[in-house]
Amino acid sequence: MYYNPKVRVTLGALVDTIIPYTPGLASRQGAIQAVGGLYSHVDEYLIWSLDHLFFNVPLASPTAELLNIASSQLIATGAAGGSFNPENFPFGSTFAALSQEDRLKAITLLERLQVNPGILPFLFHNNSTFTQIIADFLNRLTVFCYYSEWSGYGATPFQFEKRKLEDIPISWKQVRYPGRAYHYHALRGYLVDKFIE
Amino acid sequence: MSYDADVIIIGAGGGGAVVAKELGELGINVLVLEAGPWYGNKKWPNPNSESGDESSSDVKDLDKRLLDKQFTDYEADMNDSISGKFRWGPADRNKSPWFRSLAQIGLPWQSTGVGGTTQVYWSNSPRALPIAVDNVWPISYQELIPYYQKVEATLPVHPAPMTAKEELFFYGAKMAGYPLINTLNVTFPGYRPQPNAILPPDPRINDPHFPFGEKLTGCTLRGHCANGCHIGPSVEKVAKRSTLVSYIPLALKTGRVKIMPNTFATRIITENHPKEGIRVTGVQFRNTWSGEFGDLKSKAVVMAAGAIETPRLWLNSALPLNPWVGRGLTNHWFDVVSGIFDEQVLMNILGTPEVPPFIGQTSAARFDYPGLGSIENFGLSPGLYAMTHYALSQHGYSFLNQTDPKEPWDLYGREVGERLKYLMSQYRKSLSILILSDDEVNCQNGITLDPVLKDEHGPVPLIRYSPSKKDKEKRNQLARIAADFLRKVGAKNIIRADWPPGVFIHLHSTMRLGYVTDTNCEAYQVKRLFIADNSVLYNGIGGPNPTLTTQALATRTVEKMVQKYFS
Repeated sequence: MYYNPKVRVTLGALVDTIIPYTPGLASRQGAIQAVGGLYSHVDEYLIWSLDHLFFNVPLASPTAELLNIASSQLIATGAAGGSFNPENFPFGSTFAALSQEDRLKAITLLERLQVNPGILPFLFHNNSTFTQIIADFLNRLTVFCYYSEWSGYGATPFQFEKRKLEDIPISWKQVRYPGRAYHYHALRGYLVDKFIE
Repeated sequence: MSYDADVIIIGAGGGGAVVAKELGELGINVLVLEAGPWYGNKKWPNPNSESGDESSSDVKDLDKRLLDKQFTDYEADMNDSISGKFRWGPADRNKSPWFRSLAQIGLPWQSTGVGGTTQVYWSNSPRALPIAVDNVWPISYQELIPYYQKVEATLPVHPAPMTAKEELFFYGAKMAGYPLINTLNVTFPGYRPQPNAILPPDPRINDPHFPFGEKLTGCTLRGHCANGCHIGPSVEKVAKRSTLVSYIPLALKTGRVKIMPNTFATRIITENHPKEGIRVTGVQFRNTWSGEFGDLKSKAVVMAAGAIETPRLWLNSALPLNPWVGRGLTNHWFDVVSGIFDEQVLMNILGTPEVPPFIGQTSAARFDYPGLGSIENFGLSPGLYAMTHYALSQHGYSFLNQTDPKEPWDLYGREVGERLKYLMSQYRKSLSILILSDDEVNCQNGITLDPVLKDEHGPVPLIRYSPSKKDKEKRNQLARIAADFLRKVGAKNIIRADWPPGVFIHLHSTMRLGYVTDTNCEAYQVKRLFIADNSVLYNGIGGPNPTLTTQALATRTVEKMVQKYFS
């Protein structure tokens, strides 16, 4: 999926923050636990979803800008605790240059309406509620996508009527979800056979 | 004057389908307009990519094999709020969903399509709490009982079967000192199986050689209620009794009901009649595939488009002003409290090391506390699970906030990163509890028209909901009770999500009985216009899931409507 690299890198950094690569967890709970959201291309899902959420008005690009503006403010106010190299912002993305913790702090600035709404991009400009809604949406969609079957649809995940589930999502292995089922021999009886009036 | 039908019903969801069946059985000709697609019908073999036919009125059009193909059990395919089959949007999934403006963070969780949101609901069918109706509603609880009984027999409703997650929930409730109650009419706090509109499993289900197959009737405990149930030998015998498989087939069997999917009602048409005053004469609609508009005429109209769209349609039709149209929204201000268990603890209680959320009916155990609300257990597929437990919070990222040591939860707020992945790795050892607060009616809350944004059907609805201080206290009390259940059975970690008030799953009381309609659910200001969805409920019925009450009230409304206009 082609997309403006700055947008891609910014939203990719978001995915990598919410569902990161976690070798530490893997060392305690098994290798499968290392894999994170970027491996499953959750960033592509996020971009598609943002571009189709609102009257087919593309929102991925202004959303990435939103994150970058909040990141710049975090840095400017000295609130960014993690190390970053201002000479080396990946594709110009301030958000991606931050540590994972600082990225979450940048999102929190948006959620708490601590970024001047007058400097935000189209649709978010002076629209605090919409900014909060999208900040919330980013978290929800990232998590939903990663733990759903979406990453198993192979090369054409947005061709809804043609796609087939080709692979078992890594996330299902991480949570040991067996996938769809037709039945379970799991009946433990009835606490009440019949309700009374 | 020639009519397209005696009665036009707007919406084929939880309420509209009931009205269609009841009217059809009384010999009234009915036309149902449904904004979304129709799954499991031969006339729409590819409902999301081709416009298909205009209408269906024959039960023989229902096709279980199509339903099997279309209800894939996969949550991104079915439940995604933007591109899923169960979204608020047109059948064509390449088009954006229909936008709703929110005055706050959150999401309205509704589905278009024949069956409406009952396609995705968990079929929990408790009655209202009597305390929330008697001397509160303009009609008594006693008066509702025969209609409850009729709906309970028709769906039908049964005490839900127990699997591991229910057994753990019940054990927690018992250890917390509450009694088991076996009544439909709850007057004191207690726990019980969910009254679920799900056909019970075959008693031989635990036999490892039991021949599950296409001819089997009844729930198979496979945990896909929310992803769309299609288990059963035919559409009308599918285990989970969404109206798609219950009331709709019964309506079609009357030979009096025609249903038009992909048909969005855009305006209520009225006239000023010399004797009756302002009265409804029909409905303007738009076909969601062709974009063409049309008018249909009828002797009466029933609005059953849901607690957002019914007031929106009233307002977009410029019907007479009523300060309560769209106002008084209650939503049970939900929350989620969950617990993670050690294997040994589960072994001691259940005899198994896990309590998988994906096994059993999605929600099969409940606890009602008159005056506070309800809590119920639930288990979801992992995408929905992760989203509802760890990504939906008004509290922000938990690591940026202190947890109050006096509160019984260890984690509070949104989880991300390694901790999220760790928590999800414990998915099969987790028990989830949903909080449904008995929130109060406030006329500041509700649906208005967005002053700026319009879609192809007119100004979009703007939803606003702010809970009261009392609502907050009730919700906190219920969350503490839920945490107590979990702690009493030995949960290792207790996590409270703290959902924002703007999560709209149960939406009610935006066109309240007694304020917008009379006690027959006929609009005071527009004759022959009836309301038969959650919007007409007087309040949030005390906390229980609203569908059964809406269905009972809809059954009663048909009786009243026929007496007045068709006898």
